[in-house]
Amino acid sequence: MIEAVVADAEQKGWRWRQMGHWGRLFCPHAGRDGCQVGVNGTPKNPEDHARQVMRAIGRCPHGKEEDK
Amino acid sequence: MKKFEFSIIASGLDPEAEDFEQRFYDAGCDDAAIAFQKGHIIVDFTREAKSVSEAIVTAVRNVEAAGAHVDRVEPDPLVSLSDIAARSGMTRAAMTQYSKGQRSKDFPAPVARVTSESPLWDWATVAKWLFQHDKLSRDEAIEAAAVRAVNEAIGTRASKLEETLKGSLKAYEKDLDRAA
Repeated sequence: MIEAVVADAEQKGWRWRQMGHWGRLFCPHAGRDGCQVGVNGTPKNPEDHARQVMRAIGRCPHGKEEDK
Repeated sequence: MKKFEFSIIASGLDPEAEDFEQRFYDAGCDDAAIAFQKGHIIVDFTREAKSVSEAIVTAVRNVEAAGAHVDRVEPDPLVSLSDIAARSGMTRAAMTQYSKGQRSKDFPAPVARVTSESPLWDWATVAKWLFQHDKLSRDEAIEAAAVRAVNEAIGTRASKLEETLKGSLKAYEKDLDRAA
């Protein structure tokens, strides 16, 4: 479930970095003002966490700029 | 028990630190995702609690316990007509008509950017109106009031967050039911 969200983000150009228990997604906009979304490897509620991560990815303004 | 979804905007911790997310997790934010976007730490909660007040108050405490400073709680208490449409499930066109008094006379007045072409409304006030016109559930209206009250309390650095919130909500609920 969360794996699918991460795979989908990677398709959109996000980078994945494994950090032990957590992973981090970085949006295509490299640099200090890019977006960073933490992904828990073993979340308390996988469905809720997948939705939270999806929402955070959806909030990223940088991909949208590139679409123009 | 009910699940409440809201976000806490925070600052004061380094998002590049190895243990950035873990700190929040260990402090009780184990039902949240931790992001850093647009220069802000955003903690997205899906919290099970007896009431919206309990959910938000405990979440604020958890974020503080992680060592971060709580700046505000969202969904944003100030909303555009498009936001109101999205939150109530009505069309943007219908909201424009309401705001112009074409459908109903007593739609609340905007509270900010009043002189601009895109004014903003106070969501808790609009939510009350929507509830009284059967366009929004009572629970959703109370959530709107809770978010507004918490943000006001954070702004004034009220130390007794829970009491302040309880007081405001009591008044809001009384108001809701009087006119309903």
